[in-house]
Amino acid sequence: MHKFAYYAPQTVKEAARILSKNGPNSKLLAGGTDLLVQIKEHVKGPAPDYVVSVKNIRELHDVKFSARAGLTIGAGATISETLATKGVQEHFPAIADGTAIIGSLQIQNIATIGGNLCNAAPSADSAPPLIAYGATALIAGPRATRTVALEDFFTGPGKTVLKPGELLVSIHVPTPPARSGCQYVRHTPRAQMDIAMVGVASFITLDRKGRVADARIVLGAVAPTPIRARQAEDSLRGQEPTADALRAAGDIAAREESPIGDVRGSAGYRRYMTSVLVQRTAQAALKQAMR
Amino acid sequence: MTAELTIVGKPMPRVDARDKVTGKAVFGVDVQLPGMLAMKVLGSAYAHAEIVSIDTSRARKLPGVVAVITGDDLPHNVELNFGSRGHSFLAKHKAFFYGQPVAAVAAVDIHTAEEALKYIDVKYRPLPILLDPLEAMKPDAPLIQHMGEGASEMSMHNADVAEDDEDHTEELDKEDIGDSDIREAAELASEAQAEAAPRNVASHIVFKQGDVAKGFAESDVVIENTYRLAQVHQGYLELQNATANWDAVNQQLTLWVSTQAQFYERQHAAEVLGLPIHKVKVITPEVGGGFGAKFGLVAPLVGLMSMKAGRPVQHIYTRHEELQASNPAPASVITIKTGCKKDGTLTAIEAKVVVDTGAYSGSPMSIICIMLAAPYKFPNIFIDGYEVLTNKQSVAAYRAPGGPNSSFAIEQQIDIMANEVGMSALEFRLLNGSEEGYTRPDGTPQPKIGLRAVLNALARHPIWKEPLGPNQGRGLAIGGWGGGRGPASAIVKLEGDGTFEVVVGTVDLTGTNTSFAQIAAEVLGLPISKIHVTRLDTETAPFGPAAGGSQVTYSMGVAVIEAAKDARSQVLKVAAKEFDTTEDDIVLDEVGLRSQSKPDKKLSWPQFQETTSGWTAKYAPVLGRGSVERRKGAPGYAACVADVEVDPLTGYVKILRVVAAQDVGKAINRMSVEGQLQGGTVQGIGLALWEEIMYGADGRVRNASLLDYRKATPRDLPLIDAVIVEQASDDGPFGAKIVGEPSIIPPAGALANAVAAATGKRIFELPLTAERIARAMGRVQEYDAMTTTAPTLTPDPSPIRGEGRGRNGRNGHGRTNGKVKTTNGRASRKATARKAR
Repeated sequence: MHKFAYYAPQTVKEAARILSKNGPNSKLLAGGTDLLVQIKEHVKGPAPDYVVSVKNIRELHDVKFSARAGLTIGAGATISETLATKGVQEHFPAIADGTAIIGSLQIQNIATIGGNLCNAAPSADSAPPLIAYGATALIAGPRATRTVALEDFFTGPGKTVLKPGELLVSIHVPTPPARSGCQYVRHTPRAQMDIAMVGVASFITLDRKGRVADARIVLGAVAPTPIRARQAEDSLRGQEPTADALRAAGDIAAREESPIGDVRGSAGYRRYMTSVLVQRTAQAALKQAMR
Repeated sequence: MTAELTIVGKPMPRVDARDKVTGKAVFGVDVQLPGMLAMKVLGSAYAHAEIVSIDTSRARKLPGVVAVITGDDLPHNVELNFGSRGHSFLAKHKAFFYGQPVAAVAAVDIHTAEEALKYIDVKYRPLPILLDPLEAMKPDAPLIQHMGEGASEMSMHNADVAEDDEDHTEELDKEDIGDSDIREAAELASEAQAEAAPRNVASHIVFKQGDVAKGFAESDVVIENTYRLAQVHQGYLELQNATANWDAVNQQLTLWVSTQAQFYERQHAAEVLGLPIHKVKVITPEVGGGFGAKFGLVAPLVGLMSMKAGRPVQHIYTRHEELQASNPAPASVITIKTGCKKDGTLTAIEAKVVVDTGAYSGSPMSIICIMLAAPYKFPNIFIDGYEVLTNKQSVAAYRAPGGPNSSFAIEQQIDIMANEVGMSALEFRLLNGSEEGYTRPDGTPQPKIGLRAVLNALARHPIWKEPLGPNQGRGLAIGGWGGGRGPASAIVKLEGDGTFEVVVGTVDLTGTNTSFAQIAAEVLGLPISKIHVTRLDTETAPFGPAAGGSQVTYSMGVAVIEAAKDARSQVLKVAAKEFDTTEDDIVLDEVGLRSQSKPDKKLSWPQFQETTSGWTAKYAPVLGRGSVERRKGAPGYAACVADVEVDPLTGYVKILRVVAAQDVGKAINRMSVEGQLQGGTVQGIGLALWEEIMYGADGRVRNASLLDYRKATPRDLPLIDAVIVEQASDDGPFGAKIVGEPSIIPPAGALANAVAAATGKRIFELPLTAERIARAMGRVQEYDAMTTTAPTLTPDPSPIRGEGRGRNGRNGHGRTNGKVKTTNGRASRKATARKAR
């Protein structure tokens, strides 16, 4: 195993300082469920020389919710902690859809949503629902903090907008307006312990007449990053959400992605599954919105 | 045997359960020796290459490295057969698959050993790679040529690739499929080869009975299809491992091996390391699963390393190595044509079986051929089997080796024919299922098989009354397995505390020691608490056969009966003398022995033991001996009914319920027999729905981790209802037959038939992925050519997998106009379709 120096800072500032001092050859350690495998098995490039743990940084572990302020998930909070936070299951069911299926219960007890996002796998299950809810990411550097929309956070497989010295502090998710619904579904060969071949989150807000006031459709594992299917969303806005309209939106979304074919499935099947899952998740979102 | 059984036949928790659950049990990976070194292996960087040179000098200089070995360190007093995987535990001259060991390092810790691999400089001359067995058979295909040391250039050119017949017949013998017809096959083979000699054929067998042309001419229905199975891994939890300690003073090698067969392991290690057998001792710790894969793969290399390093050495595979460079189960391509009459009577079977054995011979090709036809009464048979070399890790056994390959093919054929003549799946199989006296394709008559008993038991099962909804379907399949039947020996002796110890040399994979305890208790007439079962090593244990071919309880059980009888008769003889009474006057119980007629005559077990082994003892010690010749063979037949629901859009298969029935002769321990039926079914479901080792064009495995090589998880599985059928065997213990293997055979066929019932589409290739099924339903194709409309971050990397496009929708049903309808595109198949995997 590659040898590395290990740091366990107490504050975000200190962490940012260590990261910027040691340069790009350093990695942040949260749950370690991705990082340790990468170090041991030499996947995703050379192993880091510096590992900076966020375990001792208190503020990164908070998960807070109020209907007015929305949901804030500290980047170091585990999936289990997030799922157990009051209001999450009720107001953000798609976050539960996307995170309760990550790994096993043991993984969820140690893995973090922040880590799932920063690892930036195109198939990360937490990303599509969070983007669909309109989440933003709070980023801290050695000197300043900044906020970016989560949909702009990813720049490629394993790559994010984080600059050397920066770390993700928290994710903020606004409480969805009335008459909204959102569902995330992924397709995997197995019923559990698997990785998305395609993941789709559909968020829909209806107006008083039952037309689509707003739609956000987010696709995972079918492009270098999670992507918004904007043309599909546009096709629904202002429309009656009929089965035909949803089917059309699904096929439009299938054209917006750029899937690869690999051991998990062909590109054609990924596009096809996108179409199916857009229809299914949008249907489920509508059902929630009409409740 | 005994009229009323009190212990045999009851469900009994395993005697080793507590130790395993509490972590007390010692497995191979737990072995720790003073001064032990860790070993790592450098695998070939090419799937096929000449090894030009290996420079290990830099690796040797790394602090902490104790020894580095290469093919040059292979023992010089051994004539190594480079056509045998067992002899090729380090590559010499050539590497034949990616990851094949070319060098190994022993160091003070695993990290140092791993680091040292980077400093070994190997120069290769790459050779053409063959991955598709059909491609490898083509007349212009390059040859995969093994060679002995010092083979001349000329002999290389003239080398016959089919040089590994030895291993092959060994395999036949091991699984006991009968020994007729192999020579005849060779003659037929030479005729067939005269037409067009296929290349890279390691072995070829033809099984022939009657006249298939005549059979098809008499048929009302003739169906022909091609079935494909992927290479799959046995998936044992405990990784392959061995620990070796070379005693240079006594020139003795001790091996701790995670193995199924310690006596085989000893013999193999001695043979390839050039040591006398009595100088090798194998100790088998608890084994965390083997399923056919743990026969001599690891120990020789670790043994050689310990001999070179002069210290104990341990080697544990990684899961990556397991999937890239171990010995999984073979992929196969089976083209099969079957016929029947309007009334459902089978007429003929003709098949071409191509088994991809990987880089070395050793696949169960001939068994696949036999088991294609053995479960049914086919009057006319022609089966042409080829074992073909490719540049992949070579294959070995996996629970009923080849059984799923045969069953997936023949069981869909049978289902299609039953549909065509309007019979139910069960009726058709009851009409045509084989029974005692019918000859198998290899000419051996079927012994007392319980296929019909299994089908009759299934017919009464409530599953048939479960209603099926839309997109749901039910499938039935059967499968049988010959199994092993080796000679066996055991000892039963009385210990000082008054317990009886059963001493065996067989490895307990499935709860066999618990069954032995039950058998011994039953025969001795004592409660099971008075029995202990001990497995000793190869130096101290009486010979026991391999834990393979499902034979341990079937073969060894009889030796345990004999040993227990012997011990009991010795006890009775001593007691009768001591009590001055007759033997039938003696009663044995938990406390001790007593005379029925003379109430004052009694001894506790420790007192009794004093009379045979104490300081002043006058009687001979109680030492029961059981040593029995090989059994006649007691094949196990199994059947599986699966209900599925197929997502009409995605193709995802959800299993609703599964029934697994099997004739076990007599369930010695109902609890472990149920577990065996369920476990085999789970593995059968896994290889049916998810499992496939996928190779890239360079011969590297593309899914060499458990993330992308998928075994079933609990949430994928329904409760499996195990139905135990007991049709006693002639010579097994209490009528037991083989148990462990057959249940893995039918699930793939049952699921394929259920999917066909649910969707109206047949899938001819395993695994039955959602994508394959969605494609068969014609839903995906229009999306293949779709182009991206939205701007993307980076251009689409070229798709690696042309999955399905060239491969699906090729197969279909034959039509029933009495003439053959071949719906396969055998001739039009493009190499690229296979390579795209």
